Amino acid sequence: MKGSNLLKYIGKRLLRLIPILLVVTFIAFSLMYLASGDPAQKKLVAQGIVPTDETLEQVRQEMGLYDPFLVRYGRWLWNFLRGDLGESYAYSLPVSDLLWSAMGTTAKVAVSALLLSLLLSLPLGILSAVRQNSFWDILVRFLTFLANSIPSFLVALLLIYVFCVRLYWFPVLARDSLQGLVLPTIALSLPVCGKFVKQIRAEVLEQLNSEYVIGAQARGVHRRVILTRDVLHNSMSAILTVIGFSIGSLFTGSVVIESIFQWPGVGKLVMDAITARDYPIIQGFVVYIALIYVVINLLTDIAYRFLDPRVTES
Amino acid sequence: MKHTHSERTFWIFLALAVLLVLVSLFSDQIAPHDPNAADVSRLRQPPSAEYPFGTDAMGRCVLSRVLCGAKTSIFCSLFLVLATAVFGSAVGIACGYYSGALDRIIMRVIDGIMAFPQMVLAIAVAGMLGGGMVNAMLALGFASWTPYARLARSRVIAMKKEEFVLAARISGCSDSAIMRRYIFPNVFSTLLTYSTSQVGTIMLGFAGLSFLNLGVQLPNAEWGSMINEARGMLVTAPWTVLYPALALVLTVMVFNYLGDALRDKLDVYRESEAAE
Repeated sequence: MKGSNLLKYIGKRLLRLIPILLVVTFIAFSLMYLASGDPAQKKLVAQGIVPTDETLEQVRQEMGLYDPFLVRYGRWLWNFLRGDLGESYAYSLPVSDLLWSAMGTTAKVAVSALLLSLLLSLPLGILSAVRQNSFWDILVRFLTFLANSIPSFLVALLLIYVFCVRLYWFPVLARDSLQGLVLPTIALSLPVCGKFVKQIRAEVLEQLNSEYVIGAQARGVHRRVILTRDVLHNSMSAILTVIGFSIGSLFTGSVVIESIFQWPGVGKLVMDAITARDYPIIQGFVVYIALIYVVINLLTDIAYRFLDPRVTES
Repeated sequence: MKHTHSERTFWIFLALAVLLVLVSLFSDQIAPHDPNAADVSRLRQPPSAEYPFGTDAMGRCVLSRVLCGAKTSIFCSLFLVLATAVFGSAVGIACGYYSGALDRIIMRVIDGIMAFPQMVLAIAVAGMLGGGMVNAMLALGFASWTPYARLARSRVIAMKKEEFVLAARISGCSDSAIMRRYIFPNVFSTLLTYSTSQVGTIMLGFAGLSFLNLGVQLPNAEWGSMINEARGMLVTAPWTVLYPALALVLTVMVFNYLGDALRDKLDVYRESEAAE
């Protein structure tokens, strides 16, 4: 019974994805129209060719620029569904290839930042909730607040100043290496930590104040047993959804962090594309990020239901 | 006890926020020097009595530029939060009130926009539009009006069946009058809390876009672009980075604290209302 409910839920969510994906692809496609000027000319200029009337006309025909908007959107969507996001103006390579190869490099920083955030914020959040209003709680809350108010580019600059310029522990430019991974990971994880600690603290506090905890305490169950056996268990599923939402900050952070540390991932790729006006890459980037974001949130929602049988269809 | 405490916190941070707005409003009068006046005879001078925050790579007064940047950062953020809140809530209230096919379509569009992480979408839109403060505002606005619509819509749907709305309709109120006079005042506190909590986020968004050269264009001062401009001088002239950074972090903290305090305060009201 429970299994079939879950399957039904997954089916329903997958159906709801269809309109979302239509809108997402439509927005991504329309982005091209925000850029002023003639795409054919931009393509030629990005390739370093001086555009003449003849070549412009030829490229316009090739790109199908004379077709109506919806026809072009349909063609773009069809190509997208086959995994073809067009060619980069500057590199003359398929956008999907460029994005996929950079995605792995970004994933290295993003995953290690996610792990570091969990490692830091789980104990801090729990400590701060269990010792509510103690010195540690106030300190943790202040640090969380600071982490939520400080932009990641500033964290990155401060880290470079302290660890590269003053202490010479790391090279300033992060090459794709283990040593180069350390500072981008810290810079990326701090703002995420801020969000995590806040959520974990709130969730554990809510559990601690619920009636089953008071009941268990009244029956003389040891506080540590209540905490590890019941409270943490019940908080887990809520913490899982926070991870899903943090993926957005991780992606945003990676754009900024990668362009500071020159880390060769998607973030740097897209910032270089913005500077070079290489629009197909920007377009492909937003579609991919939205896809990943949507899928991860879907997975965390499903896992949430799987882990927490109390959640029922509303 | 808790009541008075959260009340006091709220007023303290509201006063600080108002102070910041006033400082940014009168930044031209307060600034000791012209923020854009370059002077080759005093490049990168450490803080002194005449230049309390020192001078930057072009000999401009950092204090004056921080003050001038306050105007850009604070005003643009407040304006954008107000604009997105008004637009989003209007869409949300109308959708929730009328429901129907248009509501369903608009909600799917909002789902689609919210499928992008906010700043990723803003960076892409700003990147396509090609930078500049107006484009940065359009980009951030496009990415951030949706939560207001969702929030307002869900509150209106819950409220639509309440007796006071039915009573208003029976007594012959027009739809727009019901929305303005009866529904809007009841969703206002929710929307106000959410929009206050967004000021800090939007401010960081602006600073991020400017840092990536997608916001304010040089030589205009904005905290994010000042930090970006000075990041190479972190070693030789740390004050050029330090002061705009401090201004940014402290301002965002004040507005974030204000958002939290307002939420606590309104929660307290709701609790005491429920108790009565």
